[in-house]
Amino acid sequence: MALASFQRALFDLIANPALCLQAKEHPDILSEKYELSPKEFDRLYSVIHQKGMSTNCTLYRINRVTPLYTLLPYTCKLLGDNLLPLLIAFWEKNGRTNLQFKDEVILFAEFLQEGILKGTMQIPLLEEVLGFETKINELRYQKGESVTNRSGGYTLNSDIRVAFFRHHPQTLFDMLTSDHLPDQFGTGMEEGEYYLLLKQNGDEIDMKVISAELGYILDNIEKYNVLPREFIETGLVRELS
Amino acid sequence: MDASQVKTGLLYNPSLTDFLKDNPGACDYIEIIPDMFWTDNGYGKKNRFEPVASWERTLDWMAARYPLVAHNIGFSLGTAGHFDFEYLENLQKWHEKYSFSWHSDHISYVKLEDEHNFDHNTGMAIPLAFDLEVLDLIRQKIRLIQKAIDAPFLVENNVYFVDIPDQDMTEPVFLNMLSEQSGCGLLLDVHNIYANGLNHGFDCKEFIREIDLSKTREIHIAGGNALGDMYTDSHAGPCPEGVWELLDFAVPRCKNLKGITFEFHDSYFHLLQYDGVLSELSKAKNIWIKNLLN
Repeated sequence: MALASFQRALFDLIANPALCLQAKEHPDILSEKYELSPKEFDRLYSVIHQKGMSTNCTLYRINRVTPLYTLLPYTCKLLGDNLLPLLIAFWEKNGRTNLQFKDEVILFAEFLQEGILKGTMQIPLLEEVLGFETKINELRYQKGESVTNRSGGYTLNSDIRVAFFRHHPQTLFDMLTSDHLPDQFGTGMEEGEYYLLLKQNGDEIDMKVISAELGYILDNIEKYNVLPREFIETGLVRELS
Repeated sequence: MDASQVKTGLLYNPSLTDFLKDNPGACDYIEIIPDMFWTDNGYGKKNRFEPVASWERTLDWMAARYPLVAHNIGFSLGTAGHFDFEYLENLQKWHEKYSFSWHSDHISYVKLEDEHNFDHNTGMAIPLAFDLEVLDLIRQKIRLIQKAIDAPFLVENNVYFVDIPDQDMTEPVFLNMLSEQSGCGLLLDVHNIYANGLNHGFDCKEFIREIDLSKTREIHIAGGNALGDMYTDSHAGPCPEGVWELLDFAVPRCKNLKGITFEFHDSYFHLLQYDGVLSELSKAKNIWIKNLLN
């Protein structure tokens, strides 16, 4: 269907400024990539030369980044000047989106985590800040019991998450909410093993630093087949049948 | 029509939750974008549209106190080759629960047909060419909507930053033909007209004169700001003077007007605060009343 193809072509141009530049230099790629009538080809050729196309491209990017700024604010701040090139790479990899906030942040978090694991994204504090915000979003968007395909052992209660930090969370949050520039993050901060307990409380999420011993158990709960009764009575975990 | 029928409303955003509690009766109705109140888990998914609990509580609070109007996004009227029947079914249920006084969507497309049935969102409302083919496409979708939901359905004129050449008709002619042929009403967004007039250099009042305003049931007003060389419909706080002029021009020509809705994005609430929101509503109402009395 030619109209559907035209609509896809217009979208692709809006979502990818590099494609616009390519099409300006080599207009034939429009006919090669899309099923277009001569009128539709002329229309696309016209719009890519109009100054408003730049506005379209910018608005698209603003709308795609909004979920990330909203739900991964500390991560975005930490990325600083690295953010835009990472976003461009992310959008090239994930050109299709349903623009659901929940799905966008999951995809971007996975994208960043992949980079961290591969060692291509060596930004101080990124792993722990991203990990923290990912856990917050899990609580924000989940409903009911957490899903697991394990049987036996234990899992965290659905309103509980644990975030691991190599630096004291309070010190980290103080720095993230200050005016410090991103390249100053992490310098001179004492390293250790810290766990932040996150508990959903209505529309709010309560947080407190817990002991490393308790934190380790909760963060690795799937490894435990037996736990003391007093531990289960804390209400933080439940037994899997 | 008398002054008691003059109604102003607010397009809900989270900054208005406290405002509405602290200023009961400040507006006559509340317009919601239903898509903001649920998480869409995607085509064909069981429990596809999951209400966001906190937002649903706010909605129920508003519904108990105000008539509600729905300003949809998800119909994506302009998408070729696709209509979201699941979205229609869900909105039908919402209408049964909330009894929308009317509902609307945009002359644009926000979704793409996808061969893998993925709910591909375009990330912005992409404008349509005002062609007979598009007119036919949208008219058919409107008929499906009207058959399913027993409330007046309106289409809103869009903002656009590029001129699509060689269209079959002008935008006013397109809107007139669509409303005539489908029976839908018009949501006249005067800020979009203002933005388009600035960006593309046409006479906004002449544009409005060409529209059959007897079909206009609702008017949107808003503010915007510059993005590079263009003026955008960013809902950036107070309405500019040009929008008030257009409202004053349009209102006496809209004999079947039911409401004027002020839209602003919550990130711009700091520019308005309570007094600013009240002031915009009051200005809109005064313009309407003034024209009733003339």
